[in-house]
Amino acid sequence: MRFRNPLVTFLFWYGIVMLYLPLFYLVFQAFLENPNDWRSGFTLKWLVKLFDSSALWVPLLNSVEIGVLSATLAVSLGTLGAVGLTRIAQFLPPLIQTLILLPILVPEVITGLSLLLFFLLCRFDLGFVTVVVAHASFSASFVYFIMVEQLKKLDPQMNEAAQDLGAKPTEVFWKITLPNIIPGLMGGWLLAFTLSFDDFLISFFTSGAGLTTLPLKIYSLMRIGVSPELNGLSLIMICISTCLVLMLISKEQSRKWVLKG
Amino acid sequence: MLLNLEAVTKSFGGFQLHPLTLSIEKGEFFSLLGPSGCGKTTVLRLIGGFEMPTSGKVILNGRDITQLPPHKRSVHTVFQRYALFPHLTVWENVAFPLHLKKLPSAEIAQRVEECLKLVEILDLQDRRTHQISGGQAQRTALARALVGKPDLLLLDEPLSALDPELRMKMREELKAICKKVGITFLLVTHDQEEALQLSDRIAVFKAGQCLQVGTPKTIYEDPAEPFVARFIGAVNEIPGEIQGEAAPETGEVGLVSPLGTFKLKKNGQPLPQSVSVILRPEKMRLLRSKSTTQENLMEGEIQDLTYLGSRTEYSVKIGPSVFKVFEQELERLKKRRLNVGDRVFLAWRSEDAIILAQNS
Amino acid sequence: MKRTSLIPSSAWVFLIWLILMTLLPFTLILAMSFLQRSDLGTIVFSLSFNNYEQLLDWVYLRVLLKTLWLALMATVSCLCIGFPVAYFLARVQGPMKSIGLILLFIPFWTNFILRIYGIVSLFGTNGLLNQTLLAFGLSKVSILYTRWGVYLGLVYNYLPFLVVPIYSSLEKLDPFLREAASDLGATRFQTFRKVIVPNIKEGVFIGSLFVFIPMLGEYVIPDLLGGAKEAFLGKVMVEQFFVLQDWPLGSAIATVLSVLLLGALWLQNRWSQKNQAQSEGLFHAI
Repeated sequence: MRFRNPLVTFLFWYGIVMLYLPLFYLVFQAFLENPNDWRSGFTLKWLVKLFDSSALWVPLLNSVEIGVLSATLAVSLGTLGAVGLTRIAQFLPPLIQTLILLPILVPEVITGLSLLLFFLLCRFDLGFVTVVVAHASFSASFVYFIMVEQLKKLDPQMNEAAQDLGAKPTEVFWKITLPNIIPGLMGGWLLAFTLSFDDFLISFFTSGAGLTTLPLKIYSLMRIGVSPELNGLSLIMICISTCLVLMLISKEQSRKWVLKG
Repeated sequence: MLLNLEAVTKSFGGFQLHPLTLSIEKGEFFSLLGPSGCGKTTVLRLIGGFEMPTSGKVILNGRDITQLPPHKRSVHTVFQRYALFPHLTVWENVAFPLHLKKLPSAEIAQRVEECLKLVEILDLQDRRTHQISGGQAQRTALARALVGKPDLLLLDEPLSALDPELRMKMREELKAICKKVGITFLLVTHDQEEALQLSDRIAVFKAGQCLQVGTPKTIYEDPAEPFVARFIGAVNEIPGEIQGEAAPETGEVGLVSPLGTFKLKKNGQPLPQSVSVILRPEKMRLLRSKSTTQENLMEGEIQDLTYLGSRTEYSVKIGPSVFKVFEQELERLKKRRLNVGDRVFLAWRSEDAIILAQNS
Repeated sequence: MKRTSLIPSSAWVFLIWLILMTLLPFTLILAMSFLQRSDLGTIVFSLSFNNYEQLLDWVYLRVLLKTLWLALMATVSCLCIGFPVAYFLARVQGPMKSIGLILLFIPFWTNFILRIYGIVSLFGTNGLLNQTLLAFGLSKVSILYTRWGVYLGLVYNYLPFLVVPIYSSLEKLDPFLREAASDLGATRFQTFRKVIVPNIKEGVFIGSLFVFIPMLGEYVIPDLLGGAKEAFLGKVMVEQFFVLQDWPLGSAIATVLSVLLLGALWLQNRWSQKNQAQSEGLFHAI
């Protein structure tokens, strides 16, 4: 059935256009000879220049390293939690439920400030390690929910069936449990990586002086004003984010497809 | 004996399995029958190795396997909801136990094919488990459990998830497969009809206790307890007292009950004083008028009737009790139709009564 | 059933991590909010409610009222723009639904600094808007670095966060409700007012709260779009930490915001056990 209500349809597309216009203009700007004049003609020179400069590569590499490490940490933590709690998830006292939800619910500003306070009082040196830990601390909860969903869908008799057919406990894990939770693990990792890669505020508070991630670099350039370098970085950031989201969505779709049939 | 349970007990939570001693012969189709919560599934899990008994021994082929983990037992299970592996195809599911044994791939291929043919799903071998129907999943689970040629196959209510028509078909096939492969089947079910149709022998359970073991015929015709009689089919019960000595020529004794005095045939054993006489509905005849007969007669009034095509079921009220009787529709449109409120007579032969001690 | 005393050891790793890395830092903020700052900028360990009393001072109260007003306007605007989007997505069937959802989710997941930069590039001094105005011979307008800049930034950034809860409330409605209503003689507008609105109003209200409260704590948007003069609660809060070195006062603001948020969470739990936590809904809807 197609939905026909021209007014609502129009308002939907209006909303979508509003959402995309600024992003499209950013992409467009990156190719302008003069970013402050949209009639100045197109060029690739800014992008070429950017690819030769450390302004791109150092923050990009930092972002990727932080993303990989924090996602791996978050997946380990969230999965451990989910494996332990899935069966009793609905009986958890509200206090523990709130504790798990807290990192997702609380605005990043407050998470960032509280972690900063924590690191300072513990006399940790702000930098790479603190950012990784801070990112993992909020994405672990996201991973937890993904893994709980995944584990709930598994037939609890499946492990028994495997043992019954002659699989040793280690074989049950490698041949049955793991293959069946791998989609969730990969989805969770990708989500945690995306969260970390996109994060600005928590990095901003917990990175200290020396470390620059891609969003931090964009922020510091923005404070100076519009520049070709900034537009180029934005373009690259948009491309990576979009790819990550599309991967996440397709992952999610295929997972639903595999499990629901 | 293939399997011996020796005084096996198990307690957990509020449940207790009374000491159970049971022997199952090779090639037998054996059923554990009972209402839910009676402990039959627990027995299955003890044999499968998913639970350890509190005391007692499980002996398979003369070897004590009580403490062995599931993967070291030559016992495979068909689970109630099949528990197929969703990341594997039908073929891969069936090949799973053979891969674990690290058999050469040619042998695996041959044995999987054999098994898939046996359960008639060879054409589905490349499907994923979510792409097949309930009946097909059932067959896959069966093939997967059979392919490893276990000494004993456990089936945990395997037909309960199927629709009635498919269930009937699968019953026949299960029985045929059991005879064909020569593997001992141990079925857990709460469906008495299923147990009667499939089994060579049945063990009836109630509240953690095995009440009777026997062939379907014994269980039905000669139940050891009123519970067994009631669980395995419809019953009419007459409580009463035995009176007098058995007459030497007929071997009949008298029964005094609130419904009247009847003759009972003694079956050898000494009779207790208080008895519960059990009559199967099909062992009673419905008479439209009083007739002179050697049989026991009871007069009553039709309270309810259900026309079922091949037969009609009547509820006849006699005194305070209601009796169930069937009448086969032997002749088309002939007999006078009976209506609710009609007075009728029930006749039964003294040797058809099941005489049990009145306890429960 | 199993009780929490039987929480398996693997889960403890995760829970202890949460306690250490989430609960403890929040508790630190809470504790800090009751301490004092000395004139030298160091922390004095004397318990009092001074920081909260200070928040009631006219200087902060004015900021608070301004912030509340701005956030309220932004939330209402988000609601007006977001509702038709969510309604369309909930009603449309077939491939258009997935396409629509994906279209919504891409900006949702795009880095939020970039979304702010997008606003700058459209409405900045030399942005698309002003270039267009100039091309038509009109004079430039300065939207950025005023409260309108903050307003635009808030609406643009929080719009997807409100569309998702409205969408999931609408999705949960039984599709036959609409048919049942029209079967009983309701017109389309009556169906909407009498059947749909009463059934989703709680979900929409909670969704709005979860947008409204974080808006109050927003730091980057007022910082980048509001200019130096525009005071905003979140910005004031962060500045207490970084500029004025008054951690206790900053912590007091953070505590107030957190309490408001927990209140909203509690309200949501009370109202709709059946509706999953909105935050869960956020990524379940993907």
